Amino acid sequence: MKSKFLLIPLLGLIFTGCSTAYKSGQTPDDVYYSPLRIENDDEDHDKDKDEAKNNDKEEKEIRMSTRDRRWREIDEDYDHRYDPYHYGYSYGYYYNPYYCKYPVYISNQAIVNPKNTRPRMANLGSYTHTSVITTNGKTGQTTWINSTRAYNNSNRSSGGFVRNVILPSVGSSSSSGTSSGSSSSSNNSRSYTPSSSSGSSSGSRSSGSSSSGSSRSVSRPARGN
Amino acid sequence: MKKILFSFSILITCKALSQIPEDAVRYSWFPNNGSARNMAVGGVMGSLGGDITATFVNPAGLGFYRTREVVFTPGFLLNKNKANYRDSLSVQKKNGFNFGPTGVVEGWTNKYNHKQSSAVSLVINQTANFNNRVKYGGLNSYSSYSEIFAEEFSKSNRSIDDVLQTQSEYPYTSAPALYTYLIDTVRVNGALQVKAAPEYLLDAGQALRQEYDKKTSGGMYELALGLAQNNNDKWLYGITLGVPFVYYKSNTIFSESDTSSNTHNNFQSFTYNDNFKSVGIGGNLKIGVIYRPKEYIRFGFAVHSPSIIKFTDTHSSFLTTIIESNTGVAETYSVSSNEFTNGSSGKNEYLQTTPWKAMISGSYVFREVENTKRQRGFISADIEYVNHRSTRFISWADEPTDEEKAYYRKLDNVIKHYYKGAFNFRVGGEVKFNTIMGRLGFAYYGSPYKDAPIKANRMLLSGGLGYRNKGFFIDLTYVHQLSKDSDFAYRLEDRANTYASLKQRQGNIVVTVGFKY
Repeated sequence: MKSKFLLIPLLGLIFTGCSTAYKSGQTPDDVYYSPLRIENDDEDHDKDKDEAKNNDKEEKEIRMSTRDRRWREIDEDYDHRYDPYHYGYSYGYYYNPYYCKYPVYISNQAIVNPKNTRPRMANLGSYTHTSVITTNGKTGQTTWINSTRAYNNSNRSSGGFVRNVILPSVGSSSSSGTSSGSSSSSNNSRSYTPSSSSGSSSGSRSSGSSSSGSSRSVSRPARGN
Repeated sequence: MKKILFSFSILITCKALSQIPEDAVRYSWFPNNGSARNMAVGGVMGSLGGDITATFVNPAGLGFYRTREVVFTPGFLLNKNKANYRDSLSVQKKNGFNFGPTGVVEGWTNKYNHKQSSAVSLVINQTANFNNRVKYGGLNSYSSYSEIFAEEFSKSNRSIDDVLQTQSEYPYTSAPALYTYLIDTVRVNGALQVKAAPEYLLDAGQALRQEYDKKTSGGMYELALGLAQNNNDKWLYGITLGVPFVYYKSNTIFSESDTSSNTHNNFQSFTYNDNFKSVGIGGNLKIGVIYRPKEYIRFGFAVHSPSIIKFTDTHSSFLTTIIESNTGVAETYSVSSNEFTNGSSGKNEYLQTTPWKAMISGSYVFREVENTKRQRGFISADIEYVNHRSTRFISWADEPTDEEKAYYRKLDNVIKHYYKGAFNFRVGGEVKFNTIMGRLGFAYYGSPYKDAPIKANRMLLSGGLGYRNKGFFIDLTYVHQLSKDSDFAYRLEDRANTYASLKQRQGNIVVTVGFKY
C-alpha cells in the first residue's frame, strides 16, 4: 500500500479547500488554551439559509404553476409502474427472467482446486524453555522448573556445545536413502519412525499411489539427474 | 531429605498448523507515531491533549479543542541496520516514506452551558511502518538451517510419501527439503534416521557459510473516530473507535554453502526463498480521562483495548539444493512450495488479538491563557504498560479441527511464556515564543522478551521546531531512534539456538502542516 497515493487527495483538500478564519489576529493553540466557539450559532445560520433557499424554490414552483399548467405536473406522486422506461422495476431491481434471489447450491460437486490452508510452520518447542518437573519425595507435590534456554552465538567458544557425530557410511544418502551408516551418537540422531504403513520409500521415487482426499503424491526426482 | 524423585523434559511436539510467535510483537512493539509536534516531544500525549495525536493515545485530550483544524503529516524514514551474527558484522540501509496523523478535528462549546465543550476527530495514521531490510551472514560450525526441516520431519512421524503430497502438511518446509534431497533418511546402526545434507559437514567439524536477507514492507494503519467531552476544563473524557488495517509483506532469502573445496562431502549449497503476505482489518477501542485539578496541571489515564484483527495470509517458498553424489558430481534440485499446495500459494485466515495497554501521565503547562504571546511552554511525561504476552490467535475456520485448536492453544501458551509485559516511558517539553516553538523529547520502549540474554529496547531522541500564525501551522521534527533487537533466522528444539544481535539506527523526518478554519 503506497501511502503517498493515499495522501494526494488530502493534500489537495488542504491546499485548495480550506479558507482560514484566523488570517488576522492570533492563531489559537489548543494545547494551551482553546477559545470559545459556540457550535449552534453557525449551524443555525446555515440552516436558516437552507430553509430560505427551499422556500424560494417552492414559491417559485407555485408561481410558475399558476402561469403554466405543465408546472403543475411536476410532483413526486407520479406512478412509475406505468412508465415504459421503468416497467418491471420494483423493490430495488428490474424484472429479470434469469434472476433468482436465493443462492443456488449444487450438492455433491467436488471442489476442483482447493487451496492449501496450511501456512507457515513453526516448531513451538524451539521457543520454550526446557520445562522440568520435579517431585517432592515427602509431599509428592510436583513443581515446574523452567531452565534457561541455551544460546550458541559464536564459533570460537561454541559455548561448550558439542555436536555429536553421525558419520555417513560410504554410499549412504543414496537414492535408496536406506543405506547403513557407520557410527553415531544417539542424542544427535533424529529418528525416522513413520506411523503410517507407507514406510520409508525415500530416495528414488514415491509410488504416486498414496493420496488423502483430494491430495495426490508428488514424485521426487531420481538422484543422479 | 529426598527432594527430587525424577525429572523429565517436556517436549512440545506439535505439527505447526499456522501462525508463529513472531507475529505477536510485530503488531505491538513499535513506538507511537504522531504529529510532528507530538513526535518532537517524545510522543507524550497521555495528559497533554490539544493535538490530533490524542485520538490514538488518550482521546480525552481532544476535549481541549474548541476550534477546528485539518492536519496532514508526511514523513520519511532512514533505516540503517547493523547486525552481528556469530561474530560477523554487516550493515544494511533502507529508506522509505511514511505518514503520521492526517485528518480533521472539530471542537465546539455547548451553547447552553459554556463551561462544557465537545470535540470530534476523524483521523488516519500509520501506526507502524514495516519498511526495512535486515541482512547478515557468517560462518556456523554448530547448526544448520536445514535442521529445522529434519527436526520437523522426524517429529512428524510421517513417511516421505505422506509429506510429498499436493496438499502436504508441510508444504513450505519438509516437503521441499525432501523433494530436493536437502534432507533424507539414512540408516545408522541399523536404524533409519533423518539427516540434513549440511549436517555431514558440521559433523566433520567444518563450518557452513550462512547468508540471511529479509526485506519487509507495508505498515499498520488505523482509521479512527475520536469523541471527547470537556466539563469545565476540570474533567475531560474521551473515546476512540479505531479500525486498524494491516498490510505486511516479506521476502526472506536464506542460503547455506560449503566453504571447502571438497566435492565429496555430500553438500554444496542450498537457497531457500520465502514469500509471505499478511493482510488484515479489525477494530479496537481506546478510552481515557484527563483531570485538571488546577490551572497548569494535567493528569491523564487511558486504556487501549486489544485490536481484534482478521488476517488473511498467503505464503509460498522456493528451494534450490545442490548436493554432491558419491562420485563428486554436483546435482541440482529445485521445487516451489506450490507443488505441495495444489498449484497455488497457500492461504490461511485467522483472528489475532493484539495486546491491551494502559498509561498514566502528567503535564505542566506554563500559562494556559488565550493570548498566545503569553503562552510559554509545557513539559509532559507518560508511563505506559503493554502486555505483550496477551496476544492470542483464533482460527477463522468454520469448524477447526482438534489438531488446529490444540496448535492455537500451544501457540498462545508459547507467547505467554516467551514474551512479557513491558513499560514504556516518554518525556518531552516545548518552549514557546509567540509564533515560534522549540521542542525536545525522549522515549524508551522496554524489551518484550522474557529471556534475559535476548537484548531488545528502543530509545528515541527527538527535537523540532514549530511555527503557528494566521490560521496556519507547520511543525518540523527529527526523531533519532536507537533500537536493539535479536533476530532468529531459524530455531531448533534439540540444539542451542543462534541469533543475530541487531542495532538499528533510524532517522525519521516528520512534517505536520495544518490549518485552523
